[in-house]
Amino acid sequence: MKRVLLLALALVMGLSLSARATPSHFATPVSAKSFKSCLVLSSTVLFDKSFAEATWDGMLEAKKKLHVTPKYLTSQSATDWAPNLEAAHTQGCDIIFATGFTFADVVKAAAKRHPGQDYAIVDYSYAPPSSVPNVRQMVYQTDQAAFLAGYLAAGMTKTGKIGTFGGQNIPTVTIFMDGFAEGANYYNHVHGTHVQVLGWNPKTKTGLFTGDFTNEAKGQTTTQNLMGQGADIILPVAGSVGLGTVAAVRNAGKGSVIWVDSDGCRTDAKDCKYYLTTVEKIMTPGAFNTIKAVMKGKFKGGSLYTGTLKNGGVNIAPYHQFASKVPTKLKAEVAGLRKSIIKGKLNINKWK
Amino acid sequence: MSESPEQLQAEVAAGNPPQTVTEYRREQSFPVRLLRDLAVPVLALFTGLLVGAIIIGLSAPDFWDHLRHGEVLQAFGTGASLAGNAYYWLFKSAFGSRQAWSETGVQTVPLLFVGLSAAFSFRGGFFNIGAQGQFLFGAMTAVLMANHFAGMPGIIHIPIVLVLGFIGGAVWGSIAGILKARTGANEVITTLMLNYVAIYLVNWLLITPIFQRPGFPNPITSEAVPSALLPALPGYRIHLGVLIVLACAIIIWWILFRTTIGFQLQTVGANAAAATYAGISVAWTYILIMVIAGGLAGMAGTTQLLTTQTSVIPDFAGSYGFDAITVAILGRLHPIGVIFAAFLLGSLRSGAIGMQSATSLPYYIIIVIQAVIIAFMTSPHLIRQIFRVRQAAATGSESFSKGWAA
Repeated sequence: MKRVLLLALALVMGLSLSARATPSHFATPVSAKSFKSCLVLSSTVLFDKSFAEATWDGMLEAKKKLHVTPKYLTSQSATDWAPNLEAAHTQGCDIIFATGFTFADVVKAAAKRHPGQDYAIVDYSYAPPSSVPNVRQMVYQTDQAAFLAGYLAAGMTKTGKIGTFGGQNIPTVTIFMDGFAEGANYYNHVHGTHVQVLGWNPKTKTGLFTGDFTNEAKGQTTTQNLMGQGADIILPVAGSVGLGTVAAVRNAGKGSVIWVDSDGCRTDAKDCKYYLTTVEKIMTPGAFNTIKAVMKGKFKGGSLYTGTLKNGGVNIAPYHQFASKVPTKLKAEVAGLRKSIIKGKLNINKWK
Repeated sequence: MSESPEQLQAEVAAGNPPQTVTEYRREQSFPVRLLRDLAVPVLALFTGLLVGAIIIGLSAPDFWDHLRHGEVLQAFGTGASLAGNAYYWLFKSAFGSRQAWSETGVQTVPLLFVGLSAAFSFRGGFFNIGAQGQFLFGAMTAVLMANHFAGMPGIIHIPIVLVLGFIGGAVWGSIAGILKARTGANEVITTLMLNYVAIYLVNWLLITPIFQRPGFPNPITSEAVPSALLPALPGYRIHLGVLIVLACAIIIWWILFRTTIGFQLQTVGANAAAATYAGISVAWTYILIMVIAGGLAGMAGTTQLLTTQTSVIPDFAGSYGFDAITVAILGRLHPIGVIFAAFLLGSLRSGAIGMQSATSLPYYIIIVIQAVIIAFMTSPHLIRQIFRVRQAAATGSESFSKGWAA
C-alpha cells in the first residue's frame, strides 16, 4: 500500500515536471507584445465593493476594449506590499495600481527604485504630487456627492434624525460623513428645520465606527442603535459592513439606506428597494483612462487627479425605487445644488 | 536501543558487536553523516512539494471539468501542468535571477531575526511567543529615534538606531522575563497577552502626537529619515541587514556554545531545578534570555523599518510573531539551523509572491502549500517511516529540543 502511494506521488511529480517542458493551453498565454496591467491589493479581498473592485473593473474593461492582460496580487499582511510591488515590476507590468493611503510610502520607494516604471495610487496624493514623477495620484472629493445625499436625507426623514457610521476614522471614510452632515446642516439653514445627524460631528471629527470593513453583524447592531435613537435614514461608510445596515432596515420594516462607492441597486440589486440613493465614488473610469494613457504613451506621472461632481469622478446615483417617493420640489433643489457645487457657487465646507 | 539480551547475543554471534551510540556515529565518515543528517529534511521538502502539487492540481477548475466529462487522463494532465507551472515560477521567483535572490534575501532577514530570538529563548526553556510585541516596540523605538537624530551622517545614525531598536524590543521582552523570574508567571500566557497589549497600544500610539505623521489623520508614523535607512544595492531591495543578521546568528551561536552564560542558559533549559542546585541564578537567566530574545525581535522590526516599510502602521508586524516559532523549530533551535530554516521560509515567501503574480493561483493555496511543507519538515518521524530512513544517532542538541523539534 505504502509503495503504491509513493509510486502515485512520484508519478504526479514526474508528470508535473514533464508537463512544464511542453507548453499546454492551460498555461497563461503571454505574447511578447501583450500589455500588462497589475493591481496590488492591501489585503486578500479583491471584491471589496470599493476601490479594489472598482479598479479591477476598470482593468477588466481595458481587457475587453484594449486587450490588456489584467492581473492582481493579494497581500496577506502589510509585510507583503513591498515584495508584491517588486514582483509586479519584475513580471513586466506596464502599469501598477495600488489602492489605499496605506500604500503611500512603499509605492514611493518602489517608484524611486524603478524610475522607468509607471504607477498609479488611489486615495493618496503626495505633497507636492510632482515629487514622485512616475506615480499618478487619484483622490476623490466624495464630500461633494455626500453633501447632496445629506441634503436629500434631511428632506426625506420622517423622524427628524438621520444617521451615519464608518468603518474606521480615516479621511477616505470620514470625508463621506463630513459631506453628509454638511448637507443636512445646509438643509436646516434653507428650510429652518432641525434635522439631527447622529454618528458624526464634522467639527470635532468624532463619531461612530465599527472598527473594520467586513463585520456585517456589527453593522447590524450599530444600525439598530442608530435607529433606536430615532434615525430613519442611515449612511454606512464601511464596505460590506453596510450590508448589516440593510439587514437591520429590512428587519425593522422601516427606514432606508444610502449606499456608498458603487450604486447599491447595481451591486446588490435584490435589496434595491432599501436604497434611497448612493454616494458614488466612480473609480472605474480613472483606472481605465490611466491604462489607456499608458498604452498611448500619454501617461503623466507626478500628477493629481481629483474626482469631483464636475468631472464625474463622484456623483449621487438615481433614486431608483424611491423616484416616486422623493418630492418633486426636493429633487429640483438637489439638482440645483449639484449645479451650484459644480460651478463653485457653494462652499460646502462652510456648513460644518 | 531497546533490544533484548537475546537479540544482542544473536548480533554478537553474527559478527555485529553492539556499540554505544557515540561510537556508532563516530564510525561513519563525514559525508555519510552529512547525507544522513540532510536526508530527512530533504525528503520532507520533497514530500511537502508533492502534496502541494496534488493540492494545486485539485484546485484547477479544468481538472474537475475534465473529470466530469470522463476525461481522466486530460484531468490529471491539467492538474500536473498547473502544478508544474506553479513550481516553475516558485523556483524561478526565489532563485531564477539576481532580482529573485535579492527578494529572497529581503524576505529572509526578518524571519532570521525572529527565528534566532525564539530559538535563543526556547534553548533556555523559556517559551517566549511574544516576538510580535517585541518586533513592534523595536520598530516604534527605531522610528522615534531615527527621526529624533535626523541630520546625522548614516555611519553614526544607523548603528544608533539599530541599538535603540534592540533596546526597545529588549525592554518590552524583559517584562515577561521579570514576571517569570519574580512571580513565576507562565511565560506562554504573559508573552501571548503582551502581544495583544503591544498591538493595541501601538494602534493607539499611532494616533498620538508623538508618533502620528504631522498633518495626517491616519494611524501612520512619519517615515524614517533617509540617513537612517540601511544601504541597499542600487536597483535592488537587498540591503545591509543581511550581513547584520548573519553576524547576529554567529554571535548567538557563540553565546550559546562558547560562553558561560550560554552554558548556564542551556542548563536552565534542560532542568531549572538542577541549575538552581548547581548555583545558577535561574531568575537572572530568564531576564537575560528575554533581554536578548526581545532585542533580537526588536532588531527585526528595526531592520524592517529601515528597509522595506519605512513607516509604522497598525499591521506592521504581519505574522512575524508566529513565524518566529516556525523558524526556530524548523532550525532545530540551533543558530546555524535557524539560518537555513529562515532561508527556506524566505525563499518560499519570495517564490510564492512571484508564483502568484505569474500563475494567478489563489493566495490561500500558496499558504496551504507552505504550511504542508513546514508540517512535514517538522515531523521527521513521519518522514522516516514513509521513506524508511534509519534514525540517525542522537546528538546533544536534539535532547534539548525534544518535544519541540524531534
